[in-house]
Amino acid sequence: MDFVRIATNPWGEAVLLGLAWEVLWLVVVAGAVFVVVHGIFKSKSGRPRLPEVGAASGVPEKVVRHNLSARLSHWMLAAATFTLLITAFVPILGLQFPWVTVHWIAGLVFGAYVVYHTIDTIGRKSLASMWAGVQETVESIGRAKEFFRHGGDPDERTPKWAFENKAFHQVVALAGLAVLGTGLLMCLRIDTYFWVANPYVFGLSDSTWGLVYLLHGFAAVGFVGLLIAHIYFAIRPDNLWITRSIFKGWITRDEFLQHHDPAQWNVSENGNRVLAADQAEAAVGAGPGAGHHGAE
Amino acid sequence: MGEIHDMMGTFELYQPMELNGALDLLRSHGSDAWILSGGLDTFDWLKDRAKSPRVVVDVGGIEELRGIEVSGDGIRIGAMARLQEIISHPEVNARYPMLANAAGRVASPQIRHQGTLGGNVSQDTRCWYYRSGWPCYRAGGNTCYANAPDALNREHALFDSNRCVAVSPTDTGPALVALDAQMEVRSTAGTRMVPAENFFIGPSTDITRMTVMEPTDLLTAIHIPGRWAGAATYFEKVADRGSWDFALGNVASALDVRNGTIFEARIVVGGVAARPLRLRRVENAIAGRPINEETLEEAGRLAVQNARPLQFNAYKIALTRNLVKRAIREATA
Repeated sequence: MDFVRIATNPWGEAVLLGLAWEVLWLVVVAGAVFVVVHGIFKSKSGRPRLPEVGAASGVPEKVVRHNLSARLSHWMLAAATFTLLITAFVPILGLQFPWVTVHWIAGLVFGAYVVYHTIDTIGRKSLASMWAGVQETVESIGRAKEFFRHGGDPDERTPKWAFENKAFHQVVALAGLAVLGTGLLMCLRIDTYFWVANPYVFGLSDSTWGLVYLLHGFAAVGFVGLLIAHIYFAIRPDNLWITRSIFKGWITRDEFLQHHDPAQWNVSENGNRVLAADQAEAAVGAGPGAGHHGAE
Repeated sequence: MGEIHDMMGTFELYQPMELNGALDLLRSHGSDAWILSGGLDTFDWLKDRAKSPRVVVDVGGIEELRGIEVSGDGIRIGAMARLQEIISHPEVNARYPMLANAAGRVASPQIRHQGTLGGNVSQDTRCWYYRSGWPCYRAGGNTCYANAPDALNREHALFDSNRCVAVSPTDTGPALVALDAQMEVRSTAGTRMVPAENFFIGPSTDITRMTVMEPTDLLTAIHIPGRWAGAATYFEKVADRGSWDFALGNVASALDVRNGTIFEARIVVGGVAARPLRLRRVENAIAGRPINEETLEEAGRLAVQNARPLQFNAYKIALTRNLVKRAIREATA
């Protein structure tokens, strides 16, 4: 199996063209194997033991996990990603259609979202909230080892974003920046509504372009694997509570208390204005002072 | 540049005598197989060793692919019908003289006696960067060498280029599109009829192919309906050497003229895009108008409205404009 495509030009020189598309199948098979193995492991290990929920927590009935802006962003990014993957790989699989224009438009939408998301995150000073640092990674590996030896810790409750979320986000960010950067370079070589094609932009050599295409293909194929994992975890029964949130925006009080540590995720600072009515009801129900440790 | 060898590379040669046998071979070998018809495109590739198929399926012995016959109000031309047969066929000349004219402008007499209609419409582009073995977009690479600032692109595309600027070299293609022909494409999965206009594809759809034909497909016949039989038609080809070369530009037109007014029209240009390009904007603009200088000027102007010349082919703008004007004027002359 070849991992890269290499051609020979009339001078007899080898020219790197990009990723061999057999790698796509490798990723699909690897993704399928992961899903099967993980699914079997999880079914053998039984239902997770969830911690007991405290009686009077002051947390509202519904806790906003994904506000409207986050949900719209997620689904816009999902639409752009699916469009990019379909227009990239379906023609390679043999179904031909005019894909180039749709692909670059979806790519620009993807890029615009990344820019917006980066500026928004910096503006909210929450850049660090999704960063999985070295110490956290080491601790997480230790917990994973412990889990495989003795089973899970029922009392382990996480902040809003667990280590797994952060790590996944980091890999997606890396693949996204790679595919976006190379994609923008490639985009300069085609006609768009905004500029005229310049096939020899920056005067890059054939070999350099080969590297650009290789990186673009590698990141794109990586996205296929990431998408398989993302969809698999989204539709797992034990994760449906969080999947519902990306549609409806909220998780229940019990789900919040079972999975999250209120000390690490202060829902009162989470912008729960959407559910003001719930909060008011909760505050009335819990009596004076409830709002101090509930959702505001 | 392309290296000429004394010997072609080795391949397995199959010479099926029946259509189903050929289709089975194509299904079995898929993209490893190469269809050999008249051989005029094929042997360039094989001798230059720019393409090295593992299997060659010679369909020359399949009788079902030959012949020209009247079918309903139109005619059916087998894909293996020689171009010379089309030129001299009385029914083709009586009903579709434009097609006979187009076939008669293909290359040289020797080639027209060997070349087939199926081969003429299925042949690959003549871009010499591509045919010389450069790993360009069309060859699966990342670059168009013909679109470099100093590239020799005098013969290349004026319209619809998308990364690749190669043009379709077929002369009969524009005529078939103008006549609303249907291409009969078979595989082991069955038979499908593809309008000639959709048979040819541009680089935005598939940059490595010029037609919709999949590796397992075989073009078996071309059906020309009666719609344009006996209508006012015209074909003209402009080439560097009139007796031999591929088209710098060609045009095919079919007009339904009633009481001096154009009722309906087909205008198709070739040699200026990766596929024979039907000029619907021109067709719509001239419908309902008399054939006069004003109509011709408008048609010529609209014909080149979206032209995007390369470094050395801007002359094709004036060429195309004038070809289209002549195709309307001369069709009824």
